[in-house]
Amino acid sequence: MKSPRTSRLARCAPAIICTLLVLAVSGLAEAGSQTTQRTATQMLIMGIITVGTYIFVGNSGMLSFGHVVFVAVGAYTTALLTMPHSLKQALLPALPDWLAEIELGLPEALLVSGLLSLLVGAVFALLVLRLDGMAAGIASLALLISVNVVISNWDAVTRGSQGIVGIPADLTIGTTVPWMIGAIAVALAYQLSRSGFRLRASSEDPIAAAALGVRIRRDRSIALLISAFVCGFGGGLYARFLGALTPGDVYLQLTLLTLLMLIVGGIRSLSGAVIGTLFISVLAELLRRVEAGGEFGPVGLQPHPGVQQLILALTLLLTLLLRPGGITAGRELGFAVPGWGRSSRRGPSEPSPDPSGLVVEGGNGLDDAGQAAPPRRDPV
Amino acid sequence: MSAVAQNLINALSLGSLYALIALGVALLFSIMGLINFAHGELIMIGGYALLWFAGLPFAVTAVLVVGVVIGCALAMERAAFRSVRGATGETLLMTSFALSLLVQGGALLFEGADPKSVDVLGSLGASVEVAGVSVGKLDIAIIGVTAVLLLGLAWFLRATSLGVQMRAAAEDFGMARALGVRANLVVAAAFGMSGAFAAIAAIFLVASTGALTPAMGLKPVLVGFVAIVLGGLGRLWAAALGAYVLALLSVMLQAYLPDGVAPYRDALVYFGIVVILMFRPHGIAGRPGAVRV
Repeated sequence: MKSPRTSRLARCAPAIICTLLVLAVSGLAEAGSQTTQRTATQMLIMGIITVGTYIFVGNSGMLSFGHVVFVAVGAYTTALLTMPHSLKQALLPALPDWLAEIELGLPEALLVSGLLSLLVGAVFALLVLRLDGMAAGIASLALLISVNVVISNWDAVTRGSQGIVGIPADLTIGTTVPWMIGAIAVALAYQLSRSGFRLRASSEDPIAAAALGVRIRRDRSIALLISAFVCGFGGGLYARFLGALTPGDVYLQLTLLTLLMLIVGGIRSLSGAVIGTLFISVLAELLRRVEAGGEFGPVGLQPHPGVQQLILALTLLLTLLLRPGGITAGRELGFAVPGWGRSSRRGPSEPSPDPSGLVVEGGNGLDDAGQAAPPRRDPV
Repeated sequence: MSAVAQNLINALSLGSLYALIALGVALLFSIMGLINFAHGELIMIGGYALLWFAGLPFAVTAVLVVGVVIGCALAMERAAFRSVRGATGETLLMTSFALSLLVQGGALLFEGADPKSVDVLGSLGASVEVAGVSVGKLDIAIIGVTAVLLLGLAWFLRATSLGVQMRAAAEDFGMARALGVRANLVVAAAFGMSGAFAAIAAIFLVASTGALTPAMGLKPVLVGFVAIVLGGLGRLWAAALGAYVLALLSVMLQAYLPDGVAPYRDALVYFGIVVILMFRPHGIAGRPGAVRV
């Protein structure tokens, strides 16, 4: 991948700009109130989960409803590993001794979370990646449901639907940002790796890619494992952010939110995942305040439950109808050298006559809708 | 013996309800490749419509509910799905997902998040004794109505011009259009029928649970998805088959699992389905190549 035409710096440009964006928004939030800071921390954690999901979904072009499984595994693992020993004894008397004894620091616990998620990801890869298209999506959904049922009933370890309380909730913007930057770096590193390029090629045209010797399932598995690892990390941080964890916290709501962020931002690029997270987080927070009602300067508002969901859904719908590729429409943010993959002659994803680099003939990405959609306008 | 019969009847009744939902989803999938998340919201609207029209004679209520839901289904088609027709399965799926959230948000806003209750079929709550097995009248109604609808659908698709056009469109949409099938008509018909199935499913669902919430459509629609994938994408009767297999699996596991494992029933059911798909990636009755995505 060492092309003389694209310098290393230019290839890393998306990650650098995404990092700067994240830092800028976090810095702004740091100056805000306690609530704002908390929201920003949550945004960063959502960012890790979204970027983690993107590593698989964005590169492979397969939709997954199952990534929250990895988040759930990571969240419960970190919760159990970092809770104070005495509290575990009181809360979960049936816990096996070795698990009750253990009390790790955050980084170690997160690492274990990531590795466990990776294991679950391996099972996932075995079960789901044999299927294609919609069947794979629905199978991942079936796995999400079945894992949630287990979590909701495994009283000895997860305390069932009552959930675990008393997880040390000590995350701040400052302690979360490095993890988010790490997630962005991992995602970019994968995307620039051989496997990443092969996977992108296979998502644009599976038959041609297979004919060129790409073993699609292997590359999909690699992406899924990395993706599971990052999501596991994100899940661990999520537990530490929430402080109290119930099965509902890591179920459909979170799945839908992740997909919302990915699609509105642009599911086919890392920049899209990051921008989607920032955009939806800020919008959701504003709407939450509107929904709760209160005084906004001269304007008094009644509480309107449902407004947040309504407007977020409308945003998603308008994105799909007017700009099906999302805000970034499959492009990466970059500087100096225009675009690292889409416009360089070396990339695998080339046959794009459309100047926006969006519509790829015969591809099966989300972008194809562009052919049927009215002229694209920015919905926001 | 009677316990087995009892379980079979429960499975048949549950399977019929699942089949109504799955067919509504499968109709749209086979014609335009759409997996419709918003189908659950059609069911939810049907449920609330029951509340709005409560007090009228039941037949009138039922007709009104079916009418309202068909209207909503057609409106969804016109407002959202027409613009993305022909897009990839993923785009269609996400569009339906956005619509689903939108309608749910609307329901939250206008109906509130608190569950509401409605009593639909007062007299059907009773049960009758048949050969030593007590069978709920509601079960009989569900099984009977579903059987009639399935037969009616089969007849419609084989014997009427519109039905044949729909089958042609399901086989090859582009070719069918080239031969004079009107795309808008066929798609609208599919949405209308899907809406009717959703409304009838809603009536039975609400009759057996009695509760209404804005999010009530999610669980049924997931069941529908799983059923059509399990049965085999791209064939209508396979969707019904998948629904009955899914119901049989849950009822039998419910009845025969030991107490310690019983809470994990749904986990086993859904995991089992993924395992079945691992061995038969195109579903129980699917054929390779039938998937249009």
